[in-house]
Amino acid sequence: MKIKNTEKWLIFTFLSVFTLATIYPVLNVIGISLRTDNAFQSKSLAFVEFDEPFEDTNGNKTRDENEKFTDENNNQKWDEGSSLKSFETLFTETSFLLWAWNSFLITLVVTLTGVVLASTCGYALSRFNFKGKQFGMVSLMTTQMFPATMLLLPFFIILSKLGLINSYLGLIIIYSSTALPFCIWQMKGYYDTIPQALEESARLDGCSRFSAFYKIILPLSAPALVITALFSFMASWSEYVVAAVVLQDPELYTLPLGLKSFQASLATQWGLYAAGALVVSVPVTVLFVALAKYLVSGLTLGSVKG
Amino acid sequence: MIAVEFRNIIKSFGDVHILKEINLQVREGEFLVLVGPSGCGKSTSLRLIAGLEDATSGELLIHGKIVNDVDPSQRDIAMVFQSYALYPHLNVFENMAFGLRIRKTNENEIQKRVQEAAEILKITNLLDRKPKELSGGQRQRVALGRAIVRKPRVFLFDEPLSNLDAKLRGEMRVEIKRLHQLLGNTMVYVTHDQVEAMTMGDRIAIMNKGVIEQLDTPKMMYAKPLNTFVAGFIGTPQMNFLEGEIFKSQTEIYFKAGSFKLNLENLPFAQSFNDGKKIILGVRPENIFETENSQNALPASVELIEPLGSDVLAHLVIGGKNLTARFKGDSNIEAGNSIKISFEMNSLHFFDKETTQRLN
Repeated sequence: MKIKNTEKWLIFTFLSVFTLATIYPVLNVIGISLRTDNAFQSKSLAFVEFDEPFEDTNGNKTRDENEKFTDENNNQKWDEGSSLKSFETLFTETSFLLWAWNSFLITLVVTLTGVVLASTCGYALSRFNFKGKQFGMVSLMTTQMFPATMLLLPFFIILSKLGLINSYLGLIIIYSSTALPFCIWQMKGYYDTIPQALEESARLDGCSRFSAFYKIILPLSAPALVITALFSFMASWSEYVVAAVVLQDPELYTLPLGLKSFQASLATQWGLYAAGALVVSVPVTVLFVALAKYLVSGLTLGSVKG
Repeated sequence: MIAVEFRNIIKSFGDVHILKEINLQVREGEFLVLVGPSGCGKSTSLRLIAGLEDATSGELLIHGKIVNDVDPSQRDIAMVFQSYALYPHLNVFENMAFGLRIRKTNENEIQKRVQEAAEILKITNLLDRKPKELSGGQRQRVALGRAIVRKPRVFLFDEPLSNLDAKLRGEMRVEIKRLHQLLGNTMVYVTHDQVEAMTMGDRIAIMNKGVIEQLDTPKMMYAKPLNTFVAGFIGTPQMNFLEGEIFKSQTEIYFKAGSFKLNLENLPFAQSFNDGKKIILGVRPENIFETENSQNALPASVELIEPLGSDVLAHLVIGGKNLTARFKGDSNIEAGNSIKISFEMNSLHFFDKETTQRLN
């Protein structure tokens, strides 16, 4: 079908507006992270700023020693243009690296747990008939209907009874259990599209049930596994609310908690905050870009039988 | 020697009885075809041999050993699936080598056997390709190759040709038969196509509703079907059936169906029939011929003809009954003609109407 020129322009404009609306906050954060003057309120989108325009109370364009002034961002200090100072401070003067390590550990375990449990559980639900299968599947689905904040209290009570407050294990259990239902359904849906004859053939070729699963079905499920991994990753990497309840010791903080701690009661270090937020989003962006191919095929293959 | 044996095998899924006490022996080196309509239990039988299903009761023996509890991987059986079931992520070579690798065969032997099989099946130029890059016929060959590289004692085929077009199906039929002659292994082949069954099988087992109706050679199956089901299943076009009864007096004996009458005087076995016995008469289309002056000639009108080239199928009405006849291709018969026909009396099939079993 040939799209008419006007239609093309309409689509283009529509998409451009929404793209800009999506990109604007990111650009703003990048801008803030590069400024040295805590310019949270700044409306400028310039990444690279030159020395701040200056006009002192005497109408002078030169800066006098110890002269009081107010710049356009309501700061009482001289800005030296753009710099990576916030990033430097982030890595050298804060516990950012510790938080990153904590986040990495937790995310790694949650992702591995998610992939291992979802791939095996989904397989059982797809291939075997057993008592309570239907009930189990519906229950899994039901858990997805409640927002995590609603489950905070029960989670907290369970964890404190188990003595898992302020521990990674507690957090890992909660992250895994909230990500798993979706992942299991995802995997089951994908396995359903793989013909059983493939495993049967593998079993006649000499495979046990497990090795048929491992050697034939798993490699074929790569797109679904990628989505499962990504989902588990996302569920823990940028999660704040649950972490804030479970973790109290700053030594154990994950990245989102750490970032929040820059928001002190009196003054927030916006430059640091923005720099931290950018660094945190790097792995997510990289993963999405690298796995885009799988993402598209994984999300569609489950529904369209190939 | 017996390669595979079913002893009183019953298979049920809940209340649905798929196999009802099957007893069957497959001889070593034999090409046995299981044939029957959908849902007759033929595929289930095959899956039982493979170990992909468990029997509800009864014993299954492979080479004299009870294998009910033996895992499919340990049965030394290869199976060709209807969908081919090639591993999509492996190329043709790896697909064929898969079973050998699982069995930890050494690399040289794997190379040798895969090459050998590829040459037999003429797919040496496809070894690097992925299954999705192959045509249906090529996939079928790879599936066959995957089965033969393992040199299993029993081959199972589950409707392997039903996804192919007619021409390719004919070719692969010959190919599989040739393979059987070459390898000499026991092969059990499931199909719903009676032509495949007749052309390929050393013996055929016709199944219907979970029982084996007849187990015999194709020739005997055609010549002496044991009941109306088998008679109707084997042969195209189908055998003609006429329901009627025997009229017997001191002087004459004939079969009567409506206004259709057939004198049975010259058939010795017909003498044993009692007067009034309800009979189903079976006549194959090729056992009907046009005649001028036979004693037993019957007037028929030609309703429709189907020229096939070598033959002509004529749909006839005789005494209010519809029959299909197969005449020579050069016959100048036409629709609307009135002709006289007669039957090859020695090739008639008589079945009891109540039991549907063969009487002669």
